[in-house]
Amino acid sequence: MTTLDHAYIADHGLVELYHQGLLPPDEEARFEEHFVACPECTEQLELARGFQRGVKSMVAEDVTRATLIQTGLFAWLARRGRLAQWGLALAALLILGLPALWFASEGRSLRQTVAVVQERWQSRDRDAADLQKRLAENEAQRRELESKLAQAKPSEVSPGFLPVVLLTAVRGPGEPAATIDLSRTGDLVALAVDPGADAHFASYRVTLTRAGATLFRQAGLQPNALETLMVTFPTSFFTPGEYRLRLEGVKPGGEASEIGGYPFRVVGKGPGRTSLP
Amino acid sequence: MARIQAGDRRAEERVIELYGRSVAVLLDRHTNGRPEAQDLFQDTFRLVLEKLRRGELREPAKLPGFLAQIARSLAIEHYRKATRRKTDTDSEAIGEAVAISASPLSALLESENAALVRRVIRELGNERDREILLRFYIAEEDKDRIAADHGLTSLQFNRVLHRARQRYKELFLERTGGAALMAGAIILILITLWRGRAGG
Repeated sequence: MTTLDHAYIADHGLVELYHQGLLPPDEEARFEEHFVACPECTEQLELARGFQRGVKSMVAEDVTRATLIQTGLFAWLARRGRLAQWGLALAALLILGLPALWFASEGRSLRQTVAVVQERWQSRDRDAADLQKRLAENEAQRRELESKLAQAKPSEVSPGFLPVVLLTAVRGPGEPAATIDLSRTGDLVALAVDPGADAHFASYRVTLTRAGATLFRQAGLQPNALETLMVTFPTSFFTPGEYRLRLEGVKPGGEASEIGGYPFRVVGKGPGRTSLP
Repeated sequence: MARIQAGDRRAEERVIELYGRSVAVLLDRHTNGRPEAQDLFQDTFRLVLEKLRRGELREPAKLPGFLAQIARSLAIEHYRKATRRKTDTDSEAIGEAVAISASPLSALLESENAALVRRVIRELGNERDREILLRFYIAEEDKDRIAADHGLTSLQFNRVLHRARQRYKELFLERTGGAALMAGAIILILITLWRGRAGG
């Protein structure tokens, strides 16, 4: 058996460790053999034990006191007369109930406000959805129209450019004649002549010559709404050079008389000569 | 030893006077303050004195160790038997603990004790020491952890407990001398009971 000295006991806190049951079994046995014969350690152990019990009792008292305070109000109330109980109950109800009613009222009002706001939001959502739908429909219509427009444009572009060359009668050798520039015309070129308002012919006849040779003759022509005779040629029919168009009026009996001759000049480079249709 | 072997009852009473408090502390620790400590106290001294009468212990210096060993063995054996008997939870111990609390004398002593401790804690004037005491004695937290939380060494921590215990002792002696006398009377009653049983 090893003896224990008080310095060791104090340094290692054996009193506290023992009474809390935290010493290892062998050291516990050594300490017990020591303190059974040691009044000082026995006293310290008694004090530690008593102090711990006192602390626990103190805490228990505090807890009990807190509980009694809670239950005491009800016990005191239970000792009152029935009228006093009802009076106190009513007072408590008013004290607690009025704020509760106020909060409930406020809460109801708040809930109504929330409901209105929610309804507004839902209405706005519906409007927004409606507008979105309309926008989508308009967009679809716009796309459809653009599609149709895209399909329609090629046919509208087709007419092309038809240059009309107005031929006038030449009175003398120095008077300039009309000029057709093949590089500036399209596929067709129209020759127009004014037959004059005084002559009343049933129809007209034209003959196109170049260097004395007849290239083209057309009878049965009628003036258009502008009182003009118009004959259309493919540009490829002409090559640069001097040409002459002779206009004759045909009376109802078939007698023809020359109205005039209309020289013109063709310049420029075209796609090449082709025969008339 | 010789007087006891010769049947000197005064010598036997002297043994109880010398070692009664410490054996009571030991048994209180092993029974965790339960009432069976009183029965174990009587059994311990009855058994030890019987052995001394028979001369089974020849060296007086070994008497304290012998007493401690007998008391510890009896407490351990008691709980071994109690564990074997136990078919339910610790309801018996709970009932006994309630019985202690219900005793007017113990309630009075506990109330006095609580007042003393309350005063000790109030007089500490140190929030740290107050917290240490509560954590150690109520929450029963680990001593090293409490010391570490407050940046104290083990020695400093023990000093805090020692100061509190010393002040508790002063107040105890100052205000409850009557209770101390009452505790002494309880020991005397226990001795009387033991003598009655031993004599019967």
